[in-house]
Amino acid sequence: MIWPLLEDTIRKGDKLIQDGDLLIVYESHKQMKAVTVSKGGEFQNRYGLFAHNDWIGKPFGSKVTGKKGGFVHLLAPSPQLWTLVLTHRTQILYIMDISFVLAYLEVRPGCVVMESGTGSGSLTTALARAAAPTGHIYSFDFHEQRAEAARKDFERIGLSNFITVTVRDTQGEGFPEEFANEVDAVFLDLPQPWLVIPSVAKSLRADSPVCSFSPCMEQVQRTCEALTTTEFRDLRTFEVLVRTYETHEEYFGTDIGLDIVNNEIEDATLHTPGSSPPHKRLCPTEMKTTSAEEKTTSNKSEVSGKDNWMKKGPKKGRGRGEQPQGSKCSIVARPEAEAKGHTGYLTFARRAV
Amino acid sequence: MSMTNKSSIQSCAEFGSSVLLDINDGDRMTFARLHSTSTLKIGNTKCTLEALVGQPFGAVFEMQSERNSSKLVRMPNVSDVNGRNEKRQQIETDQDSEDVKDRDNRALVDDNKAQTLSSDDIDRMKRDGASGKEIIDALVANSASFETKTAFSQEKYMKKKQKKYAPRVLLRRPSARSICEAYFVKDPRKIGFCRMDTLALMMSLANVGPNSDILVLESLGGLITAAVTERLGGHGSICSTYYTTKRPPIDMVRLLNLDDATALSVLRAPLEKLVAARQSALRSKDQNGVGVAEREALAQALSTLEEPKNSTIGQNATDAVVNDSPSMAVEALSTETPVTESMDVDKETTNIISPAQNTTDGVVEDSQIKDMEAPSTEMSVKQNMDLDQKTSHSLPAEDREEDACELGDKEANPTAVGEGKASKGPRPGNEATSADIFKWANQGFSSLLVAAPELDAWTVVKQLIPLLSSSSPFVIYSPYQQPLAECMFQLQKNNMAIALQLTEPWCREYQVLPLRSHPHMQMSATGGFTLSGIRITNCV
Repeated sequence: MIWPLLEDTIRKGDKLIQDGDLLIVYESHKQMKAVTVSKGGEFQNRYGLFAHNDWIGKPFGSKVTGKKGGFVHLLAPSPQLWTLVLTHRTQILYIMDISFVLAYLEVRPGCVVMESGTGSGSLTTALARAAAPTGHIYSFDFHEQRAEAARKDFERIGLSNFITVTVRDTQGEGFPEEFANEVDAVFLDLPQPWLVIPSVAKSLRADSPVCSFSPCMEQVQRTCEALTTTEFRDLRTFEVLVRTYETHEEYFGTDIGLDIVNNEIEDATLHTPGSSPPHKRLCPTEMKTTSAEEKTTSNKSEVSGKDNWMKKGPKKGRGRGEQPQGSKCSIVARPEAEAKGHTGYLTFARRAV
Repeated sequence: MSMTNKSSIQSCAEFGSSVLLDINDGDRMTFARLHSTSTLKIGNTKCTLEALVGQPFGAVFEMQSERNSSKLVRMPNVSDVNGRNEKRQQIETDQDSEDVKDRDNRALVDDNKAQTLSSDDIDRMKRDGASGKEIIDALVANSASFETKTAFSQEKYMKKKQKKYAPRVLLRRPSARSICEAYFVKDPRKIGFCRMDTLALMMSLANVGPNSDILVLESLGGLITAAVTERLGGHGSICSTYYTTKRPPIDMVRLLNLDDATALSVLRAPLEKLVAARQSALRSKDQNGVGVAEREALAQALSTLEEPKNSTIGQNATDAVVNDSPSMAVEALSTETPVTESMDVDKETTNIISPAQNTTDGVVEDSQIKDMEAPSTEMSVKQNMDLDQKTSHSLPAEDREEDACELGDKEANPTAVGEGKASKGPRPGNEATSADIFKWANQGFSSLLVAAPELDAWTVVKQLIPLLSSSSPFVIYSPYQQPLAECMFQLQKNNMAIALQLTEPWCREYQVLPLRSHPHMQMSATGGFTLSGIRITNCV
């Protein structure tokens, strides 16, 4: 059950894992799995065997140890975690696109949202979470088995009350007539979205937004043409991506084998508590800069110390927390090497009033 | 399939509504509140906003001037603000004729002599009561070069003239997204340089949604609180906490037209109280669950906090307010001279609110908050603005309730000096009761969002994460990468959280036109950074 979602799950402190709960087994941010807890059930991964019985009664967020001594964390499911663990039946939307769509379509509790196609239900889950408890998502897919699999997924994560999946070829038939003027937002992820635009215009309330997701500019082009010749205004097309960073400690060598110390150039000093205070509220930063400066000064003396300069530069493979001589330590952030270069273009428009 | 769930989203602007005015297709964005005497100024022309009352959001108006008066006139159902539709079709027809297609600018002589109509001529036309369209037609007729232009540049020319002589105003419903976008363009410092896509990502990373209890610590003028409030829609609670003895403003929340239930879901509480209550609750849980004795102990703990004790951080904040020096929020975010020049405010428009020009401005005494009639946050903002301009004076009581948030150029000043007749619902941002604090202390919050660029991320996060219930997500925003990198490192080392991710969103807008699609020539290079993660049990 996506959590927190229903009013009846009034929380009394940390939520405890129960028999039948869906949870996310977290090994690393690249290794997660959705598991439904059952009495007597078992979970096996490279860290060993875990008995579900050991999990029941523990709070979500607990660290549990397997029989081989490895551990995993047991997390409460959320739409963003679900996106990372769901079964891919199609290409799916990821968090950045999903976030942008939710914000731009202004999905909030009470909204009626239409979507085509359902696909693997990644966006559908986030839409339902945003429109609950009073709104509803009507999701259409022309693929019978995919629709059925999606329904099962929504049931499993406890969102079936908020999502209706219907098998329908929206590109051929459009959206059902009974939705005319009833819908707060429409999302399209179709190969030929322009075919549905007239039907979208009929379904949307005045001033309500539509979004079309397409990987190719040619699709965007035709969709925009259809939107401008139908009753839409405010056309905008975006591309959104994320860059993620990894962080670690890095030692930078300060000893370059010279015994002549250049005393002419002083290190620029940062603000210290004593010097003209930029502001008293700066307290935490001040503390930081102070310690940074202490570090710098201690490094300086280290470097200028006669007996240090001959020592080798920063060594690799030293013990934890041990700073090699002739170096300074910084925490650094570096973009992760691989990133998505393109997902799709997001085209938005609003139905004219 | 029957639509049983009619959404409660307001479809028309009402008397007293907060509206976003999109002038000339996004050239200028201005927030205003509709009152009988609210006005809008474009260029030298001023007109009342009365015509907007009762009109649907999404409606387009044209400012029409007749002799001495101007008014906003609703435009017929057009699919595009600038009638791009008909023009495009026109262009496509023109393109078919070889004549227009083969035109180019090889014969163009840029000597400023193409237009024979002088500005005096135009002024005379205006005085004689010519409409905007008549002036544009005259300009085209008197332009020697218009006929030689390509269809594209003819369109461009017409658009430019239309903006000047017959400006269009699109009535928009303010949303967290549009508030963020409008501020990001005009005054990004006020929202800590947080771009719309970053704000959107934060909502997902923190799993913000109905039936949650969300803790927010921000100094972005209420942007984060507004976005969270919109997502909760009255289902759940929002605690906008503060560490200063005075409450930093969250006025942007009031730019949303919230229903009563939603407004009441936005609460405020001092951080010190939340932390003390949580510690007390966790201690009593370590013993035999929460019993009557523990409840009393907690109530006791809370009551001792009623007299705000000045912690070090709080004390410093007080000093900051007293000495009214430029706040660090601004200094930290900008290398320019802060505050004074940032307030681009016409003195006549006393009703303008500027959400959080910095974190210490616009603060209110605790005692005043409880009394709805007492000077409100806006009042204080105004006073602070006046302080900045060295023209301190108090404002008439009537002006308190009004607000309009100017994002436009200096010449466009929407004024809203009404009589406050509009029925007022509850204001968002009531002080949390002891019962609220008790509930949060026992349950823990279900999400945490921090957007206080002036604070050291790690210092804040290590204190706030224990306020979360286990397995709850948190997200920290900063325009800077380094403090988040250091915070991430600390969280990792201390095993306080998992699924840690330092993320930088990237967003590019495209022009999509037949045969002319390409990314916008200008784009925002940064919208800030987020650090997100999930609290795990052994973190306290």
